[in-house]
Amino acid sequence: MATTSIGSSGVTFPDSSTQASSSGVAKAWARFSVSGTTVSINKQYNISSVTRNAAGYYTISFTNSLPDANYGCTVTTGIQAGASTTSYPQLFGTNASPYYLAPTTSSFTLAIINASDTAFIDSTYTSIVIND
Amino acid sequence: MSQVIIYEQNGQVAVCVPTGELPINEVLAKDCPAGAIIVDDSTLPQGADAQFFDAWELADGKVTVNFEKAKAIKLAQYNANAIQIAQARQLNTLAEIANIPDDATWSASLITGRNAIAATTTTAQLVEIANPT
Repeated sequence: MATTSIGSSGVTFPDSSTQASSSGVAKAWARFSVSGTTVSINKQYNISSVTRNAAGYYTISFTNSLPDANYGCTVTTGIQAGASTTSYPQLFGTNASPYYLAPTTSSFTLAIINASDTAFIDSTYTSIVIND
Repeated sequence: MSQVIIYEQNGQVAVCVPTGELPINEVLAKDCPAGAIIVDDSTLPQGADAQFFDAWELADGKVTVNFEKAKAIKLAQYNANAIQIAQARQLNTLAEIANIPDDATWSASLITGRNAIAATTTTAQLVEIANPT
């Protein structure tokens, strides 16, 4: 089993390729921010890229694919980038009808809407955790 | 300055930002469709142009802003904001209603705003136009 050492304690943990196929543990996580229209990935684990498909519509891709597409996601968003408007995440959402795209073992989509449900907007910060 | 991957998707420009866990060429092959290209993010629209992401267009490896699309986006935002305010007004108390402009004044201000959007020639001018209040 491939492992990676953490710190000087000698304790080893599974690397992301091993952890992605283990049960009962977080498979991936990330926090990214949007300033203007620039997406910055603040920190991540087992996430290869964040793609901005349109305003408030993202695709998050895994570095190592997950065993199946039935994973759980926790997504939180903050206020709209550059404003004070509340935002709400739509898991596996898109910005056009049918506003849903089934997740795959290698990626999933996320749409973010404003509080009045009238527009897709970017959140200043978005945090995601994938469990299985 | 960093490298990103861009491609056209459903008539819009998608910008893929690698996290660094994989080399960008691997991300290009794994996460992006055929035809995607690696560019320096400094070559993407900046300033006011950057605020109209959904109006970006990709041609010959260069991203530009379709100004007519940007105007349409601004107008849609403006109208959505106006509708929201109009709906909220119906819920206001009489005291609150007394403190907002009468409908005729407000309607006139909306027309002024829409005309201002129509008259713009740059994205910087579009950004300067405030949404209805």
